Amino acid sequence: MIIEAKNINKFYGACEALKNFSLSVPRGSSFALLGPNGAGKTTFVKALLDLTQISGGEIKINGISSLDSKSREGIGYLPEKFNFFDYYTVEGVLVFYGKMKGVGDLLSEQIKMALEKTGISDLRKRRVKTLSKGQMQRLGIASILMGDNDLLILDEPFTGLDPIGIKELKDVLRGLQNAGKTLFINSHILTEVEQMCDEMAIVNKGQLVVQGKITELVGESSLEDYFYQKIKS
Amino acid sequence: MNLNKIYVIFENTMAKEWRNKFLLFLFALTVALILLVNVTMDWIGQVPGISLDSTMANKKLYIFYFIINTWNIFLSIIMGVNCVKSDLNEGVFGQILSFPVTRFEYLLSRILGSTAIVFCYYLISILLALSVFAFSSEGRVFIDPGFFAALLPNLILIFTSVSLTVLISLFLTKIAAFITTFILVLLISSSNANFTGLGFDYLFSDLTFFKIIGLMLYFFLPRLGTINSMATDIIVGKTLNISIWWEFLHLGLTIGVVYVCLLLALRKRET
Repeated sequence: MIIEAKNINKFYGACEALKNFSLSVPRGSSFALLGPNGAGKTTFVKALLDLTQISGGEIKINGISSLDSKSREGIGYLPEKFNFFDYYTVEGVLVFYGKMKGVGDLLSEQIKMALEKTGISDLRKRRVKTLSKGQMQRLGIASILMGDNDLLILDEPFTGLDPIGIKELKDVLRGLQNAGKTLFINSHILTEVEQMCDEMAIVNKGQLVVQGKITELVGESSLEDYFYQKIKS
Repeated sequence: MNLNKIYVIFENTMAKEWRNKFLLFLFALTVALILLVNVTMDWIGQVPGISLDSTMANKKLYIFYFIINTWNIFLSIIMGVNCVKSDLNEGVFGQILSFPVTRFEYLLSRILGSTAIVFCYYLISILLALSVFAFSSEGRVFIDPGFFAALLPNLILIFTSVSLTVLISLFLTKIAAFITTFILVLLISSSNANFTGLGFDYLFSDLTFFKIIGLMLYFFLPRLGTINSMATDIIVGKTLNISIWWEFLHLGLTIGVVYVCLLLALRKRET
């Protein structure tokens, strides 16, 4: 397992965002964490990256506690709203990400590859403040392609992308799947998830509802119907 | 310690902060002040009966140092207010911490980056002041070796001021943090001026409300005023009437407390 979370509890004041939440993500899988708005998906992602303090439980990434910064080596993270200092150029952002990922001599090549894969080569010299929402999201995706990441955590990656952007993102993600990377996708756009992922977990009101292989769980039904039924029940 | 990542964030801090428009404005103001002091002192030197002898020239140089040192603290506060706060405001904080860096490494690189900018500003200002001074006093420049020895306390002063400001900025808006830190620095300097070098018998006698507040500032916060006086005394060549080792021990402990508070505050911060 690349991610193992056991009995995670997280309180925001009196509100319990995660209740005894446990989850296992197999290495090399494309894993979707599904749930309605406010279910606790983003809270879990933040807990994974130690961006929020959990009230109880333990998370391990590659066998290392998430409280240890070494657990974040080999992780690419795309937040729900990717942002960077607006005076940076697109290339400057990727240089920063590349350096933080310890990319040495291959930096220029990796930047070129990331720009090409995300279709923003022509924006290379543009400043971040001049980018549209969709272009910004593509830059975020390009940034997680920097370095040699084994685990890619994507928080609502399809949000803000037009149909062309969604298609291109899916192609990029499929390329990563074929390269044996683990994808952890946090989303509520079920159609994209159904096409992309093999494993899933549904979270509602901070609690794990179900986890397993999508084909086994959904069966003859559609993911949309299955999800609706699980949440309403 | 991951030195490579610390350096990358340090570099990013430099790239981020040199665009600070207020910094450029302050630099222009410093240049204007240096030129103004120069013209004023030259004018005084031309008054019949007063000649620009070495005493006068030294005074002029010390006024330059005074202005530059004062701006130094002012600039440290400006840098400190923006240093981590802008990452939180722009949503970049979480993205940086998603890399394998600890909060301490992140803080240290941001604060060192801001310190480096203010220190560069300090060196440029000093060089500018010396150039103006050398030009107007026909090459008679009186640089005491103490000037070089004062660089270290000045560097420590900048680092401490930036660290303290970053801590305050985590709880307040930028403007409120700036005003609060500025007032706090004034109070610390005042308490340091009143209590430095005095024995415990005097310190703990005749305790009034204000004296207790002053003593708390004196004992529990870094002694910015004492470090500043130390730097000036070294430049002027005065004998230091404080125990340097005791002051450095106190500084180390109080800076340690500031960093513990900073880490706790950042730990509790939701990104």
